[in-house]
Amino acid sequence: MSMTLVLAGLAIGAIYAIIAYGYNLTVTTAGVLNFANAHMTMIGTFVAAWALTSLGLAVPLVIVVCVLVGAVLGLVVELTAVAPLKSFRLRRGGGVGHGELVTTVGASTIVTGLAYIIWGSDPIQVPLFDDDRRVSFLGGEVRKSDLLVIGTALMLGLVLHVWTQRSRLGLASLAQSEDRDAAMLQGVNVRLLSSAGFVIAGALGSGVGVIVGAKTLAVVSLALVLAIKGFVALTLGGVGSHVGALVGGLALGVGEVMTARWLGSDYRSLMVFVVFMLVLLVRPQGLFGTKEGRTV
Amino acid sequence: MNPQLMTRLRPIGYAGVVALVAALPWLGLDLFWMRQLMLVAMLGLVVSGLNLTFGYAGELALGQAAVYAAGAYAAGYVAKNLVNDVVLVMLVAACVAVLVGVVAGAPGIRLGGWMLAIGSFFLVLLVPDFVNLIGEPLGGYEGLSLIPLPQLLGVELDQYYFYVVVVVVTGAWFALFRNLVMSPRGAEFRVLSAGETLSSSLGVSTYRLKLKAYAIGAVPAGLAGAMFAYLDGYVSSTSFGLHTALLVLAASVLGGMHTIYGALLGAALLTLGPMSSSAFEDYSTVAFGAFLLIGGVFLPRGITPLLRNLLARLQPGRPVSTSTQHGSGRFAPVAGGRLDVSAVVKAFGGNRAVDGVSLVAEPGRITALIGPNGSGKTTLLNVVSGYYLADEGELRINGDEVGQLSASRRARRHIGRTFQTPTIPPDLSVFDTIRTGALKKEVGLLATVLRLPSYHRRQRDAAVETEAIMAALGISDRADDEAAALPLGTRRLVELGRALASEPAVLLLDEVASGLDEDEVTELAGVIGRLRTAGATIVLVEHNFDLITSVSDTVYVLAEGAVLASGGPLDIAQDDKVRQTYLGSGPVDRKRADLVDAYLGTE
Repeated sequence: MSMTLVLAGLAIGAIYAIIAYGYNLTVTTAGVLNFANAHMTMIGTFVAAWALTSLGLAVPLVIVVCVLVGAVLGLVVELTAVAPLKSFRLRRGGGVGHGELVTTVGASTIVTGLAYIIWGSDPIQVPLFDDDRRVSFLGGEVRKSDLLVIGTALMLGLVLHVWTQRSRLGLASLAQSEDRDAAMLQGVNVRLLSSAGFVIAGALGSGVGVIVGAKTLAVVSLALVLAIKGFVALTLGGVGSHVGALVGGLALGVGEVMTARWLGSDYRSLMVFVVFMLVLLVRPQGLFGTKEGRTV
Repeated sequence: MNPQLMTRLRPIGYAGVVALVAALPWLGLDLFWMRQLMLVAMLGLVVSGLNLTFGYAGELALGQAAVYAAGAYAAGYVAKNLVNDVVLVMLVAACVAVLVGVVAGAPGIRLGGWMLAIGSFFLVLLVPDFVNLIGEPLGGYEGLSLIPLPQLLGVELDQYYFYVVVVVVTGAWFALFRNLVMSPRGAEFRVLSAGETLSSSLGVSTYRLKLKAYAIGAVPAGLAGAMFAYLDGYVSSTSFGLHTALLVLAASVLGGMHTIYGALLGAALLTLGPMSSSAFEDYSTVAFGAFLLIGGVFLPRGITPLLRNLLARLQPGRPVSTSTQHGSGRFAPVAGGRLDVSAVVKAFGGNRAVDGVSLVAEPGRITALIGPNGSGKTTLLNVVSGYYLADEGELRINGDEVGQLSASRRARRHIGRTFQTPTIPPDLSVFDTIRTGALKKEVGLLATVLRLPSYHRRQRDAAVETEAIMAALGISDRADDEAAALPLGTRRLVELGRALASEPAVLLLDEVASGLDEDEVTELAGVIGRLRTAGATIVLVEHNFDLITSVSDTVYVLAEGAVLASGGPLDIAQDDKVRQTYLGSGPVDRKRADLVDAYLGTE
């Protein structure tokens, strides 16, 4: 297989990995799978396009704007779709976070609807590079935007991995995801932690908008595809592990490109679905996940 | 009106309402409204399937739109190419839908929750890809067109008679759906929603029950799909995308996902309400999202319960019983079995949580298991229940080795238990909750939904059995109250009743006294004592040493995964080793003396 194909796959997979980081962040801090997570990135691409072209800001400033927008949006989602459920919930219902699934699907739908109203359904260019030409790299050809996405995913994965293991917030999240009640007793402010997780995930998801958008263009329908495939990457790697998310995302991207090349592009999503099913059947905890013991 | 007469008249009244709606075109309903009502019926059907899987079984299968599509394509294909008979086509559509529903649900079988929700949602996105891959037979991206008008036994149905078919089929489905939900088989789904731990402790195979939920939930979507195909003679994958998935979810949330007819109400509101007007088109996505968000936060049970409460207020209320006097009725004889635990080891990594424990529990005796936190009590209990498999050692009940059976099979055959935190599914009365202990005795699905004579026979038997248990526990006056909403002490008794309903050989009680006040503990001690008299084998895992000394016959003290000491409660209380490691040293206090008195007094 050619290096060019692999690189193209890695670039797509890198985006899935970034989405999967976002899922991990809210799962570990708030115990909630935020369905609106990929929508932050979609909004980020539009904000980046607007800041680059209409405002003519420099790239670092564009990223700052995206981060701020994403942080606010993340906070709004947490305050409207997650926090009220936690305070209203009188008793623990059936599965974990079912209520949040409905409300975050709701939040994501509102975000999608607003994006349609503001930007319409046609794709918009995110002109990060004046000239996004292919360059030679490791014996293959790759666009500069692809390399940038791959590099970003690698760097973020590393940073998040270290951050989770070392920082106070990261450790608090670990404690929370192990045992919420025990963490509360240890003085972890789970309320604040939950908000912080959504703010960080929003900032991260939207902040990479300029980089992702340079590759994918800014388009509303991007959110749903990324939401699903990012989730498959997360499952493949193992929920909670950033390294797993990175490996899972990259593997999925390469697999998808190979499938498209050898079987035809109609099989792309089908292949991802098959992988998803296989993982759940064979190794439901994912590559880097740990099997949870059952507690009664 | 007397309630029994009401029960008899209900089906007749229901049939009358369905007949009336079916006859509306002859009473002046125009074509536009016929179509609107058919759309409501179709969406209502699809939503009812989601209500079953999500509302009742707690499994959010978002793939309902894909299941709907499968039904529509199957119906269109069959009607166009194979056989055009509305009954056969609906049958085929339902079967194909069940198949897709089970595939969509597959991610949930082992994991449930998010995996199921997003995995099944994924399937919705795959519909266009899949249709295009099949190509010509399904019409590809252009859609499947020229589906003929429906026929019934060779007679072509005009739009009026097709309308009648839609109404009658919808009416029939909702009748069956109601019969399912309002039955022990429906309670089984609620048990599932309370978690796998509970369902397996009641002998339910969660794997099979989930499959059942996905399959049954797919049936109405398949039927609706067939109606869709016939309605316009055209099926396109664009009709079943994200928009439909959200519409179904929003209708379910709006009407109340824990309701039967709320599905139709939600469907009607979204089909006929302002959302359907074109003026709102641009904002419809935002509005759907707002429904889900606001509904999910403020109306987790939808608007149907609100309407129901309103109606209930208009009717004279039933007197609410306030007495909590718990009787001292006798239990019917219990056939307890002998539990032998020999040299059981369970390690987690390097930590041997249970390290070679042997103990015996016999019928008509109370065997207590005590020990500080981390001593391995709970792990041992989980090994005996079957949530963990022992690494070494043997577990026998009446001499039969059970150590390799799954938790649900052990529960079906031998073991009943209660939980540290009472686990009681929502929306079930005390009577129904206790009855879920005897799920293995309930009649099958078909007999249930069709209300066959065997169902009524079982209803009568179960009423006798359940009422006897409630009387012995002294909670008969709470029979119709919602069990999950009762005070802790009563919930413990309900759990005990549920465990008893399964007629267990061994009864495991996990910290039954924790969180109870003194009076409640005294009462509980009385109940446990009477159970012993009835012949039950009782294993008590307890922190409360007072309860232990007052009721138990044999006490095993665990420390660091091994048995530190065993013997009668008074010997244990005097044992120096036990005193040092666990009890501290102090005189037997008054409370304990009271408990002993209370216990003896009930003998």
